[in-house]
Amino acid sequence: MVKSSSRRPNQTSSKEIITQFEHGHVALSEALRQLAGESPRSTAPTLNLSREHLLLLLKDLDELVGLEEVKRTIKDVLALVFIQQERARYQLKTEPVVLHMVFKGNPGTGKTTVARLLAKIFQQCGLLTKGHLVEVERADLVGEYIGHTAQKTRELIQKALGGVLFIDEAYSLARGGDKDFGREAIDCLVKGMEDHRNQFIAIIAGYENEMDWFLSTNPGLPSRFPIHLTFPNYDVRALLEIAKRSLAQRQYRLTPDAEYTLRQRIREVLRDPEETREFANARWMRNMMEAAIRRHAARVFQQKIQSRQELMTLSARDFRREDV
Amino acid sequence: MRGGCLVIGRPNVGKTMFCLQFAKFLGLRKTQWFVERTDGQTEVVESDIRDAIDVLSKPTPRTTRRLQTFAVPVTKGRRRRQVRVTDSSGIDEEYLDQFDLRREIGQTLRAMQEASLILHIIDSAVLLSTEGTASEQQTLLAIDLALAKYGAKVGATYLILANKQDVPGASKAISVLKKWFPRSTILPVSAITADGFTEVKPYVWRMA
Repeated sequence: MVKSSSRRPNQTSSKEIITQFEHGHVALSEALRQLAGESPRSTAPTLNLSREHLLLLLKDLDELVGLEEVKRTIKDVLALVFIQQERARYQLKTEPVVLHMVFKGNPGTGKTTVARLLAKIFQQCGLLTKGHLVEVERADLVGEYIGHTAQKTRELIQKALGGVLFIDEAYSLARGGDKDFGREAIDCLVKGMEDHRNQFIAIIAGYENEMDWFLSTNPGLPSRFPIHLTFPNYDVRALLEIAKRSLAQRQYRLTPDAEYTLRQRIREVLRDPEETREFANARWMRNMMEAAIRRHAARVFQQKIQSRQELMTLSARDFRREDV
Repeated sequence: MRGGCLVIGRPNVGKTMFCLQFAKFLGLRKTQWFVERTDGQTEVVESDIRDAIDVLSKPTPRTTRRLQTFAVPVTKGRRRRQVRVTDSSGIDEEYLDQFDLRREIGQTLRAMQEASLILHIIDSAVLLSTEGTASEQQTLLAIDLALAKYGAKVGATYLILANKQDVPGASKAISVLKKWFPRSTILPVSAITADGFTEVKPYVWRMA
């Protein structure tokens, strides 16, 4: 009769586990778990990023016009996430990376676009499960009667789990003073961020000065939103580039004349302090494009026969000021 | 080779102090330590027990860095036999990027499979210093809980010694430990005052 070679079948495997532990491949708690006979926790880390994959994800970001500093900060953050993952692989101590952010900048400087892109990137990295963007403002968070605010805020956080909660004009939550329900929304948001750690990313956005004031009103906020991104106004070249890209996407093109006129108009607007204060950057540009496309349509409609060429070419006339 | 008594626990819970005081308690004057280094070599160190307490036990964590065994001669009936009591280095998740520390812990984990009695020492005073919620206690005891789980597997008699009972109020820790280790025998001891050693003695004696 052949006796089984080892009386205690666990013996060899536990030797292996100890050796693995000694070489730094498993953490102590994990080694002990396995030694106690429990099945190994899935060895694949929740994050499974490769450098190549990360660089690929960043390509979408790189394609945005301008925003050099924003891009650099985001790359730094992703590098940190990646390195923490690698450190975990070698059983080194890791710091949890807090990804809640403050976006500061004027309207139309790309805050929502970047937020949407980040949601996608973080989802691909495995940091977020769904990667959707829930865009809210004060009216969505603040309720009408006592208790209503907390309920509304909680519901929105629930909706944002697995994605990004983007609060536009967040400073307005602190504007109403002490009795305002906005305060309650902030408290509820902060609590939600603690309760659902790592389950969603909160981004608060707004004008730079207002956001700085907002963060200073609530001493708990700055440490909870460690990443600050400042979105500068676009300059003439960037705005023109944005216009060209959005037109190319819609299969329109500019005559050299039209481009010159457009450039002139952008310059005029940027020079005028009355207008720059309320200037909506890329959004202004988009409205401008839409107006031009409408005018182009009206103009070309007058002709009896339209050539393919004419259907896609915007001329200088389409960009003139309406009141001229 | 199965046999012997192994003392384990997290750093600075009083493993070495317990071993030496226990040896003294058993009537030992001179100790002969067999020091098993992580490279497998064994050294023999001989010293007076009082000197050993001064030299080997320190209030700072991580003083003992290898397995140290001393043999206690006992008389059972007419036969003279001996009990081997082995002191080990502390087990903790900290500093684990250091290869030699991992080797020490690995050495202890292996020794657990060989031992017939495991004395798992837990610092009662640390448990009291945090006004403990359940989750705090759980993180504090995480390694101990995992160790005990593994210990239940290796087939040795497993005792939990709630050490540092000399600290005022430390007896309260017993009920906390009873809650977390419902299936283990828990004995309150104080390695400094030798309180509770009488209760531990029969378990060690039985192995001779």
